[in-house]
Amino acid sequence: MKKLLITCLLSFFMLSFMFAQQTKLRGIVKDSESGNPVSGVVVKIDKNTVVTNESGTFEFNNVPEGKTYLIIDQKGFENYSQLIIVSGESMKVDDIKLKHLAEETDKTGITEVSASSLESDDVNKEQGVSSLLHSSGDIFTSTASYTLGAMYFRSRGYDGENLATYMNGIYVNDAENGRANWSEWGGLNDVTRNKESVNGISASSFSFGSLGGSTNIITRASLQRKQTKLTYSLSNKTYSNRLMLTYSTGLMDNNWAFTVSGSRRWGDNGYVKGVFYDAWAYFVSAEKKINDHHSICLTAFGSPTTRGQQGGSTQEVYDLTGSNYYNPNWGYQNGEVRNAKVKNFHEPMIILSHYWTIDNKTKLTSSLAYSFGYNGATALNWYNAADPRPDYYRNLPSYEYYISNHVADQNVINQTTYAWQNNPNISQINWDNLYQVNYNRNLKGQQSSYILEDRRNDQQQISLNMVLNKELSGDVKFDGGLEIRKYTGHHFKTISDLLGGTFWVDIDNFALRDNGLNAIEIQNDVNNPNRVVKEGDIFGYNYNIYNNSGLLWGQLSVTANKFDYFAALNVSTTSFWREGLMKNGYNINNSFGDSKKYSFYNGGIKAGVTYKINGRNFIAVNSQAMTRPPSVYNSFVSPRTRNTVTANIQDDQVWTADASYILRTTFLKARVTAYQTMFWNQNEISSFYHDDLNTYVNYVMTGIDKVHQGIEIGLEMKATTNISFTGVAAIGSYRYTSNPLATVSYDNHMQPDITETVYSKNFMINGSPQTAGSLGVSYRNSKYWFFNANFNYFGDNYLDFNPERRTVSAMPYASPNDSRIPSILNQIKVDDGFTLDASIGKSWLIKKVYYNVNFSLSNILDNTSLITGGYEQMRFDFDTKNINKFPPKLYYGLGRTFFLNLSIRI
Amino acid sequence: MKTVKTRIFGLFIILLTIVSFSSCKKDIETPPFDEPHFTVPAGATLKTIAQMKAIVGSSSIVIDSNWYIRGVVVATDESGNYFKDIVIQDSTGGIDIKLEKYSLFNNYPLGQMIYVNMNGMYFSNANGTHSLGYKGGTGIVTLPAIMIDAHIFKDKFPGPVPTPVTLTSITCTDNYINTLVVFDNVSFADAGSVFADPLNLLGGMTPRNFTDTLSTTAIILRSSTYANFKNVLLPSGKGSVRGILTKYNTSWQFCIRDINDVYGFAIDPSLILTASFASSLGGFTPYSVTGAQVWAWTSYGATMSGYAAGTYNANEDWLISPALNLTQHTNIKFKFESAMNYGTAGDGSLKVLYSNDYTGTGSPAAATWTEFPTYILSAGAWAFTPSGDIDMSSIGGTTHTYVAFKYVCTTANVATWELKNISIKGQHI
Repeated sequence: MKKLLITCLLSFFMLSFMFAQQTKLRGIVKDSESGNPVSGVVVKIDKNTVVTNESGTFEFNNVPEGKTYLIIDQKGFENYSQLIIVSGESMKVDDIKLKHLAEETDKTGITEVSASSLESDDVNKEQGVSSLLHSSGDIFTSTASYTLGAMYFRSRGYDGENLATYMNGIYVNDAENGRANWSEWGGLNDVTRNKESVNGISASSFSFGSLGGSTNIITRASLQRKQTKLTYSLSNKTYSNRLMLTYSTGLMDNNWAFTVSGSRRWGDNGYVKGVFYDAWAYFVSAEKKINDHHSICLTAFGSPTTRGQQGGSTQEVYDLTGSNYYNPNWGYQNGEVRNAKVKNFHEPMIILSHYWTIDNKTKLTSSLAYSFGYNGATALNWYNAADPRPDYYRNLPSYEYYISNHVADQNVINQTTYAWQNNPNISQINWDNLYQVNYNRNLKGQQSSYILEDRRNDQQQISLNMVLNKELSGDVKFDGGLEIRKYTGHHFKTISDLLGGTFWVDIDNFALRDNGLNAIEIQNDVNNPNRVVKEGDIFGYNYNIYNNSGLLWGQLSVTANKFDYFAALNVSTTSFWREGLMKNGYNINNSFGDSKKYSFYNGGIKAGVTYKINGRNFIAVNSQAMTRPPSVYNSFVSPRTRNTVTANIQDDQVWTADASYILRTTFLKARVTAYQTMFWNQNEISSFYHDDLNTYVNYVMTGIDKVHQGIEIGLEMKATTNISFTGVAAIGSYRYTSNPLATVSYDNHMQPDITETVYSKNFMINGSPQTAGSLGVSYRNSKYWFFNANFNYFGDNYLDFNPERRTVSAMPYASPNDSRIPSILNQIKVDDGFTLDASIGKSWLIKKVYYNVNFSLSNILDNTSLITGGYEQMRFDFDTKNINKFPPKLYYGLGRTFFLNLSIRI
Repeated sequence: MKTVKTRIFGLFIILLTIVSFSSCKKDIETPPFDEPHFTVPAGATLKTIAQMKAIVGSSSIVIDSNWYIRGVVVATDESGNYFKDIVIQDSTGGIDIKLEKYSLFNNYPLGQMIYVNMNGMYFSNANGTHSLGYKGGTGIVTLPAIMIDAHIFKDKFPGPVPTPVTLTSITCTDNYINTLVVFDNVSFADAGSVFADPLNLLGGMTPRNFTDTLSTTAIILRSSTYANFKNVLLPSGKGSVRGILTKYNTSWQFCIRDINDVYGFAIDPSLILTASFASSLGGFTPYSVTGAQVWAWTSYGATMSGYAAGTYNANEDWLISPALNLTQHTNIKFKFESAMNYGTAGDGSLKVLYSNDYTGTGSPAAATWTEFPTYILSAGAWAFTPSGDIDMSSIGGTTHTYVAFKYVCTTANVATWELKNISIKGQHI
């Protein structure tokens, strides 16, 4: 393998000399109205792209001879293309004047408000939009991210860990679960607009890249558009109001550039009741151009946010309450709406970047970043008290049918149904009662029965990133870099609210019932037994996760007449471990102090070739193979209580390939891509609370293999100068290809660990529709009007399945022909659905001030029956084998919503 | 241009001020503690519990009249010994009420006066005992959760629980069924066994006989394996047992509410060793390996610190028990209480060890000592902390086993430790 790789790399070097030829092409991009140079514009010739500098200048160092198109597809401006005939001599094109477009609705804003991650007690079951904000000139990618992404479509079915996100070169995906957390810079839309994006596994000049693509957000002040901009937005999705102000100087005569931005997003109730929003954001960037070779930029930003979360429920509850947007997380306290599940975070990041132009062929970009802060999510907790969650299954009318040795009483069903429909103390959390209960406890000097706890994951991270871009010769380019990061995630719980009570005792209330008083097992922390805790105190669990990693990568790309090639390689080392800060009573010898350190050495290679049939037709083929360390999240079986890791803690392997045909004319742009990706040897851990056994149950699956294959089609047709049509289709098949082994372990050791095979081969992977499409029309005219509409289709979407139901032990033993077997085994596919979106906008330029209004409506036809995802509950009733006792939890896409955006800019 | 920019900033500031004031997420007020009040509505009749039992007699009926009873909660499900029921009593008697809800004590704590609207409820007599609930297919079941608030009403804040009636003999009337009573000077037949044993269940509860004060009739104490005291050992000797008296046909039964209902037993069961350190080191021997300071008795118990006269001194000091004969008992549990200050929780400055080959005198270094795998020590701040039950059954105890507390400090980290209430108990073979 290694030999082959070296041979490959060498042959690329050889090729580079064969095609050595130096044809430079330069030019300047200007604003057609102001005549000012525009920085940060991406200019393309064939597959090469460059970005204009602060004086609007771009320069290609190597352009193949012959006819070619220079293309600019910049957000906020009309598309620009120009035929260029390259004679083999360096040349300068005339100044390019870009015409402003009416400002389109800020789609990142729309997606952001739709994309409140839906909360679940198990992180793996949460529905989050991970692939969004992946800006790109590619119509498929941008439609998939923004338009389809709002309904949780994910390109190629990839999970967020397969989309790499960088901030000024710093890798910002979470060090434990691998997913980028976009809300850390929410509300900073104006200053996070400059992005370099790589689709899929194409060549990338800033990183080795990830399977689903990479995005590098560039926030350096000198590349921010010079402006003062005030934006106000009104919406009925998650927040009601947004106010943003951005001021950017551009690069000034004294070689300084500054950008500041601030915003607030707020609202008491979103589309879903109880989903309140209160988020501030700030951003400061200062850049000094020391000389032509060195620039230094310091950026700091953060987004202190508090917001109420939505929770999924079962169809029975949605039907009872008459709404698919019922939210079990809130209830009335003193007549006011209070949400029990509140996210609370502020994770500032500071980045110091150095841009070094060593010579006109060599650039070295280095960034050092530090991030810190807090991240919490509240939830109710209770001790020796009834479950306060309104949609707990025993509180529902249907429970009457599932009581063992009991004949359902219609009177009870009717009364429960009536109460659900008429009494918010039944259908929502009854906060007032929780307080009364705690007050009663106070009278006896006893602890709170109910509390609100804050589950924290406070992260600290230091990252160093260096990227070298070097032209080795005219057509050969080397990109390479180094990514180092040191991460600590501090996980613990604190008491957020004693709810009128006076204290809480830090013992494991589930263990108490199993083991009785005085048992050591009931202690959450044997070092501090029976500790009395109050608001703000740490309790329950307390541990650190450390994850340190280093990665080296390099890429050679060659541009030739008919073919472009690239090959890249990376090597990395990762080391993670757990440090317990409490000695758990069940795990005395396995919970306190450092766990073993788990280290992994990994590598990957990728290569691609583009055949340029002519200036308009291209065929591109890419492939990538790599090994990856297991994610921390899927390695520790129950990090809350112990150091135990999965039995199969080892690398997973990935191989992917895609082949595309690309057509690029002024009239029609099209891309058709076929892809296949294989994952081998993955792990997955789910935890859930089992209230019959009074314990958390951890479900560890190892040896998961998957395949993702499909076709992507994107078409963009310019019918007239004003009207264009788009069409996008994704037809995929993402499924499991192995029968993994599952180990079920009980935190209270009430039952011994069970290992059994899960018969999930050919089950479909959940989390995204596997088929989706969008037809769009857009109109824009020279008077700065624009209008667009999209009709979107979503199909082949599946619910996450409960592996326990696909085991031998879940089968009814009566007979192999038992009619219950199919219902236990079959995976649930949700109905296909559609939405219609449209937006309209206009800009005015009055005395050099831009005024912009746009308005968009999502799901205009108010389709409220589109299930975007969900999961089968992890509990299964082994006694009756009736799957309806614990029916699946479902998430519905929002009905008709609007987003109005007003801005002034100079 | 400048003026436009200034205006935009101005506008932003104004808008921001408006939004800051208009839409700050206000803290929701804490609800007040409302004293509940209830009076029987006009047209309804308040019955006494005794009247109801007389009306129902030996049958079971669904009440279809506007009748109420009231009573004070005398037993709840707090310890887990009761499950989905509470017991109330008035001056005429008591009754068990079955309600389909967990942790009823949260809403109906001991001492709470409640009124029960019995209309639609099922007043049953099963095996000689009345209870109140709901008519299910096969007899009485719990009142469905959704109906509880329409039938059970609280009146006033919880008050004191009625004083239990002291009974000397079980030859009493049925009036005491489901009321709070106490028997003094009783003893358990199964002293040393656990209260509830999953392998010994009768009707879901473990029966343990005790003999009433006059030693005439055995009464069956019934305890649930869901009770938090299920693993506690029944005491030996004589003491008091308080709880709810019940009857199954002709057999008298008894339920305690929690472990505090068993009290006053003079002698702990099968005591192997006890040392309270209340007035001396009680047979324990201090042994100093290094340092001038030694384990000594103070009014707090056995005390040791390397700190003396303003100086921190490195020390290693042992406090060793008298020889223990562990061959005559099973299920041996060792426990003590410790208090610490000036150290760090879990710093290892105090260890608890045992030896099966120590000679009884001289340096402990000559013997093999093994640390107990699990015990709880004080985390600091002088908080006396129970160690929890340390199992000594499986250490291969001999006729001359020793336990010891080993104190270690350096000149840098000097903790102070205090020990008291040491006991080692077991079941006689």
